[in-house]
Amino acid sequence: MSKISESIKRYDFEDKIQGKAIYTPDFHPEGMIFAKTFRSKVSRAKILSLQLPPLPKGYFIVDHHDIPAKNIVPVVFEDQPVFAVDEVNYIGEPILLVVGPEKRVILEIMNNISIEYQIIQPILSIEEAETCSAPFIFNNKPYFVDYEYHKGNFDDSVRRAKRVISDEFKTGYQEQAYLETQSMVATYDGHTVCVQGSMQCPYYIVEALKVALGWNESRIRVIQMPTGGAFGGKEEFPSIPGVHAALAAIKSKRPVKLVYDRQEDIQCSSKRHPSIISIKSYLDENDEIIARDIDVKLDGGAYAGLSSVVLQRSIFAAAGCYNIENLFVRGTAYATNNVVSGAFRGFGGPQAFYAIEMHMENIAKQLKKDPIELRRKYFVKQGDTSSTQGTFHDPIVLDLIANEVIAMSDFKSKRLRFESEKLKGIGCSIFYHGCGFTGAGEAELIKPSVRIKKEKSEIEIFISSTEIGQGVLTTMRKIVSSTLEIPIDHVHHNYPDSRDCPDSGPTVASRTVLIVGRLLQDCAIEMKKRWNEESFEIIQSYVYPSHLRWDNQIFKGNAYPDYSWGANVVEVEINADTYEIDVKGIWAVYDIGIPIDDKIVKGQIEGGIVQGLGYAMMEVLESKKGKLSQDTFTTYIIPSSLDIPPIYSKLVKNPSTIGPFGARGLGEIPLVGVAPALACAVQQAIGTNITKIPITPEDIMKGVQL
Amino acid sequence: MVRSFKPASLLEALHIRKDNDVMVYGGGSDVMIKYRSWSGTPAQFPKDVLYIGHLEELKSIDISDSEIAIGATVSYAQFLQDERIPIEYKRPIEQIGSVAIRNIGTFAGNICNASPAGDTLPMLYALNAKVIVMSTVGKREFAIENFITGPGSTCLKNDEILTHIIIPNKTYSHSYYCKVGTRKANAISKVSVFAIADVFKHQVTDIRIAIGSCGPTVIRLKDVEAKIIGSKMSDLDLMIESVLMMVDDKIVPIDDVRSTKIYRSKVALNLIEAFLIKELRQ
Repeated sequence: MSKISESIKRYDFEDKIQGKAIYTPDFHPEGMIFAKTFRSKVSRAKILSLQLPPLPKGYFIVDHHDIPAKNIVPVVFEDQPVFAVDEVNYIGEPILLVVGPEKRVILEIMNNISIEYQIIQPILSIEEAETCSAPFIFNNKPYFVDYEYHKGNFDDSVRRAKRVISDEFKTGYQEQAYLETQSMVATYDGHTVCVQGSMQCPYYIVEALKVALGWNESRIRVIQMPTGGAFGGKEEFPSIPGVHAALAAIKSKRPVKLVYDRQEDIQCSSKRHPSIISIKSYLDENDEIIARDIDVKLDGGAYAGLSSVVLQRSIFAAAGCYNIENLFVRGTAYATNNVVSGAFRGFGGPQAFYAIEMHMENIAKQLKKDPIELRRKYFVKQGDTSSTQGTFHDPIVLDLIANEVIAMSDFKSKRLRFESEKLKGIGCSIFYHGCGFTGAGEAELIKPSVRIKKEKSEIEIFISSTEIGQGVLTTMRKIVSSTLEIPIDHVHHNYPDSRDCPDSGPTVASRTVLIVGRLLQDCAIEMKKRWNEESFEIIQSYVYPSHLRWDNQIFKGNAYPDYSWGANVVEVEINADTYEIDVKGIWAVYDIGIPIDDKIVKGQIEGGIVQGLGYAMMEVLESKKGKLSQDTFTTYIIPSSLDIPPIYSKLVKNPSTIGPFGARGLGEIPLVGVAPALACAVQQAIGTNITKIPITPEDIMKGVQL
Repeated sequence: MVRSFKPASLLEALHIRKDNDVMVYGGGSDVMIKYRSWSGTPAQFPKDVLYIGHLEELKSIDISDSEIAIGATVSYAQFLQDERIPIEYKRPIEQIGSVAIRNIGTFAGNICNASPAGDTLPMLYALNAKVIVMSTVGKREFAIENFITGPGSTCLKNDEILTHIIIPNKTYSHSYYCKVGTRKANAISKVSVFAIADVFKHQVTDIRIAIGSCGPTVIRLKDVEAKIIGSKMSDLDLMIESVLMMVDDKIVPIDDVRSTKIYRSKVALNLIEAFLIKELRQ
């Protein structure tokens, strides 16, 4: 074991465990007042009129009239307003804020706002979007983006094929279910506006404030507060409450707190994209897979948000861990009048790997082959090219990963035994997660930099990476202190404040240790050389590695700077009376390079697996006429501690060539492979193909053959 | 704004109940959710509130040779910790909600909330539980199934408080409980079955079965019970098909956010079959 992997006590541990941490809802600056969001109750309409009641003294309405510059939430496209002006496109779209000192009075004002809508026929699903006609939601087409890429000679291979195996899969919404809802406090001193809150990406909020206010960055400050979970749900979404709170503070000249209630949070914040994915494999006369046709459709919701980027990850991942020479891949992110879909741990990967892994399982079943051995035949290796024709420069140890997971779970003998034992099943999945931003995004869009400062014997880290429970306040200290070879308590690191932290990029995409950690290591190496100097600082910016290539027009080259790899096995038994899935065990093996802290890594693995388990078999979230039906924790069912099965995880040692101390990204991959492994196990147990997740006992009842 | 009353005694509580239109508040685990409002503002109670959860005189479990009388403010946790209570009565209670809910929630609250998914109710129906309600002028006693009249409605009058729940102090040769929730803890039931039976010399001498979440109230299967009582164990296999048809006729499940009508029917029948065919044999 590497020395750096040895666990230490987390630096955020004591404050959180003793209840001392001040989360945004606990934060009450003097003179603070409250804001509440008035939202659309219809999924698509023109706003004909809006009547406000008389406001008592000290109460304000904040709406689009209060935006000094652009009424736009900057994400990828400029289509989403900060406040609706004359139309609404989803249930929960913000129209205005009611701001004032007493919550009771705010509620009274909210109840006395009357609004008249002229309803427009809404588009409420991928299927409806595919066949809809004008008026469109987004420009003059039913989708935000559609993509296509090719590899090899697809048409020739199709002509050569002797057999075609095809499948279609559906996946549902998923809610991030962070414990702390979206929360912001904004203050304004007449010159600078400061937004403090629960967030993943302080500089996304800085950018959103710059766009809405038209102000210079020197008048904008964003600080992360201790944050109660994020999981992607606090990537792009907090720009909306962040700007809202800032506008309210500027108008009222008082500190303003904006904290969502749970129901509001579930209804209005971003969700994982529902998908429909079809895959066709073409086989030659020797039953070799020679070509593959993949079509990914996502429900992006009412505004473009991050759908284009999620779709890219989805279509790259949908080819799986397999070297199939000839590919034709399409993807479409549709515009619908549902809640806006967005970032969620895995970011398009969980949908894609669910589909490709179920498809591989179904091919193995049709060819009567062992499901892991069939997959193994096509595993990508060092020197192969990816789905986007980027060369895999580093060693890929999928063989070893597969061997480990087979041995740990006793996969082969159980698989055979369950063929004759009713209602028992075991399934596997093989998957990867591309770490960091897509293609050259890291160098071209993000341009991350980091700063470290030496003051006598004390070192301080300044990065915009956020602590969202994943351990960044600990792992970054470890990277810096280990590089400098000094005791870790001399290294200081606080929650980010845009005033003194450069933009190190968002805390997303399993990139923080890999990219930001590496930049800090580079700084520390430089600092070590100049150790005799008493006080100085070093700023380091990202440089795109010279061995990588990417063409974003045709999606050709190295889609990601590095990859983490994994395999899961899930064993289930179906209750014959209730059709409930009893998960007997989950086995998980990963190559995440060298772990920076064993316990933090284990926490990420087990947490990710449980979230993947919820996605696979519990977390039903349906939009009915544009409204989510499960909007409380009574109806939106995430696993409780009693629902967590035994989890056996293991890491294989294969150091990254670019990450600090050989580490790769880890945050997302544990979620990615659970659903297909579980679904394959259920499929064996009931003998019926599973084509959608989550798999409920109600579904199993329909499919089960007793 | 609503008024809150915190009486010092049951008698005072009954007088407040008589003189005011109040909602009785036991542990609050249902009403605090039902009337919740924006975090940081008071719950939006529709009327004045009478708190009784603190009343010591209703906080005891009195046990005689024949009966167990559970006071209205006895929490589930108190019931579970009481070693005098037969283990089969604890099985449904230990699966209710979470530790926090079991520390605050009460039988009386679960009964007066009168949800068909109430987790104490199938057991109380099967045990022929009685409820005692009191007012300033006296008390009335009801069989549980007569007391609950529909989803959310009971016979409780505006001047009455449910004070005690009476169940027999008895053990049975067989007992069975299965709650199918949306997960293993902190879940509302999709379907649940509580059953008890006495089998003596291979003959069923008593049997009682109640089903939750499969109709507007919990459903007691008295026709089925009558058909089975007196039967030989060896006859059950032959009877099972007609028994399950009777059950199917009796239950009226619906589709909702938690489950489907067809799932509830099928699982209710499966559970009853499991009890009659597997459990009774053991």
